[in-house]
Amino acid sequence: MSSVAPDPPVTHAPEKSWTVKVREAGVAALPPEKLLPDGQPTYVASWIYMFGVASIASLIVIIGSGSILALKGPAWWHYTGVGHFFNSIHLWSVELFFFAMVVHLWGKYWMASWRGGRSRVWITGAVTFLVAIPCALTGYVSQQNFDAQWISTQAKDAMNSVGAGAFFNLTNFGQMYSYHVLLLPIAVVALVGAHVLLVRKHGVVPPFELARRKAALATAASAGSDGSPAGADGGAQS
Amino acid sequence: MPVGCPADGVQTEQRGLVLSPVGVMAAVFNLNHPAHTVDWEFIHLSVSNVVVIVLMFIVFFLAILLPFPGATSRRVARRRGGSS
Amino acid sequence: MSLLRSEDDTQPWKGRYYPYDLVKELCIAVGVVGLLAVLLTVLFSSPDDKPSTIAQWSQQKPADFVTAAVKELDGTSPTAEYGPPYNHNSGSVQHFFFLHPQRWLGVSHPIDTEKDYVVGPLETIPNDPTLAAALAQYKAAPATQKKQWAEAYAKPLEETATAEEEKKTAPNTVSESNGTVIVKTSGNAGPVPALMGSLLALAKSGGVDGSLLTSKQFFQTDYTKPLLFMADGGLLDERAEQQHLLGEQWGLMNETGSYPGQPWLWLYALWYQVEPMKSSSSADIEVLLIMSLLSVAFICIPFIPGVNSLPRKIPIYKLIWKEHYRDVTSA
Repeated sequence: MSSVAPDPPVTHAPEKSWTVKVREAGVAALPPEKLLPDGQPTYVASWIYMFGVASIASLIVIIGSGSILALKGPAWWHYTGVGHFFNSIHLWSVELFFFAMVVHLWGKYWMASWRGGRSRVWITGAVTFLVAIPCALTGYVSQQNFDAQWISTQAKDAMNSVGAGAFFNLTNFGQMYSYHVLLLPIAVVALVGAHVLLVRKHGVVPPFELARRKAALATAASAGSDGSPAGADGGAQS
Repeated sequence: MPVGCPADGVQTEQRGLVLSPVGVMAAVFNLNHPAHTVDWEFIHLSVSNVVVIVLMFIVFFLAILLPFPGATSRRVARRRGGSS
Repeated sequence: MSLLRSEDDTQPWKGRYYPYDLVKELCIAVGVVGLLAVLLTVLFSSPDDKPSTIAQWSQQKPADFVTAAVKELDGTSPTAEYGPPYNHNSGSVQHFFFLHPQRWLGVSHPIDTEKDYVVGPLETIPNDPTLAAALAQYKAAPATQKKQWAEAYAKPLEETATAEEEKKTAPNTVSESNGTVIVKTSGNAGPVPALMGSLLALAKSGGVDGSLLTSKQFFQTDYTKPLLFMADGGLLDERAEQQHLLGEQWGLMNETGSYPGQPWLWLYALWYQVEPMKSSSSADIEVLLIMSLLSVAFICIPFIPGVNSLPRKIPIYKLIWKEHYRDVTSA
């Protein structure tokens, strides 16, 4: 006997059903084959494309090691070898995260990856980088060691200077730990999620057209308007 | 330099700098000493930060120069009118 | 936006696709990054310099502790003069032209340095009639008298601290004996020497650390008061200088020891080293405003003429898409 529920019956839900609207909008924007494609354009042929997934992988290791640190509480890593081990993994995965993000950002800039209606992909990526910085800062001030003492007493002046210190107190360990372990990671993960879904929706940005190829296509297009076939490569670029 | 740990596990302190002996023993290379710096005009960067920045450039250029695996698969796709 | 879109002739890709396993790619990436993190951990571990305590500060630098404490008492310490969010003064209130955002949300974390750092902790000491009498005398005095006493006591300490900073010979007015600090005041310091002596002894025992943390309630996670007190002294600065964490050492990019820190903050750190920010008392707000503008520009790169066309002009893309261009041009 199967434990899998049968497909739900058609209920003829009214058009105003929010569930139906959300589902149809989601499927329209990202049908399964687009959400998880099994192929990539043939121009995706460089190691530079690996740094986006490397950033995500680093984030996964950060969250994994951070979760283990959170399981035992913020003081654990100071007095056990295992705790210090996971703290070290957490620190190095943060370094790897920023490293991968910066290389990814450089690659995406030189590809002008905002082209073709992809400006929101760039924007979500840039905001992710900027939000990751206070996420790291709250981590540094949550260490409960000398580094945390120094960073919090120095950076508080910057926060206070713009009025943020009134509600974001770097010397308040409890508040900073809450931001670091919950609020800012949620923000980073949400932004990364939006970024990746936008990439899936728009596809990876195509290469620049070479100038002489542009001219050739333009010539072919004008010849094609007389009835001759257009384009030397049937469909490499429209 | 800081001393190690007495038997009861309490950290001793010298000039306010204490090493976690567990962390030091676990590391192949001990980085728990004041950093060397790269100084030029008003720029003072720690050697480790300079290494990270230089590595970023090296990795970036290697990433765009080194060939990416799967060239055969892509060539086949281009010639035959491949998947999707 | 339409001005820029007219230059963007990128068409949707209608060309070929090849098999690409994204899920396997992610799993491999997590494995590689995980192994790399473990390798770096085994090779280098991570730093963990123990925090300073007020007890350590008072034991290692008793004169420095007493100097800071008497300034908390007479309201001339950096914290006492700071301004919002700690009090209504203006010693550290930064501004950008006529904008003073530091004042907009008022005093949200009030600190009364006289009460919180000196009188309050001393009041927790039981069974000390000499201290009780000194406290009573101090609390009964008018504000001007309190200030005169504190200034008489503070003056030799400040002169000694300044001489040490400038590496000059210190006047012979401050000495340490049997763990106490002896100050030769030129004027009448009233009960202040007794208060400072008791506070120093309490601090050395760890009593001030405890008092500053539990003053509001039993469970406490806010270390603002003890941290600001320690930051008013010289111990944290001294440790920071050894670790290259000071502002002029580009400290905000650095980690303790020789570990890599936050190299991605290089531009933020750079602005603090150039005029006018370098010598400005409002450097923080100035640098934050500059970085906020640059951050907005970073987000808006797709829309900034010149910046958004640079990738087309400097053909790094030809290296990235070399295989594609080779194939397209040969076709």
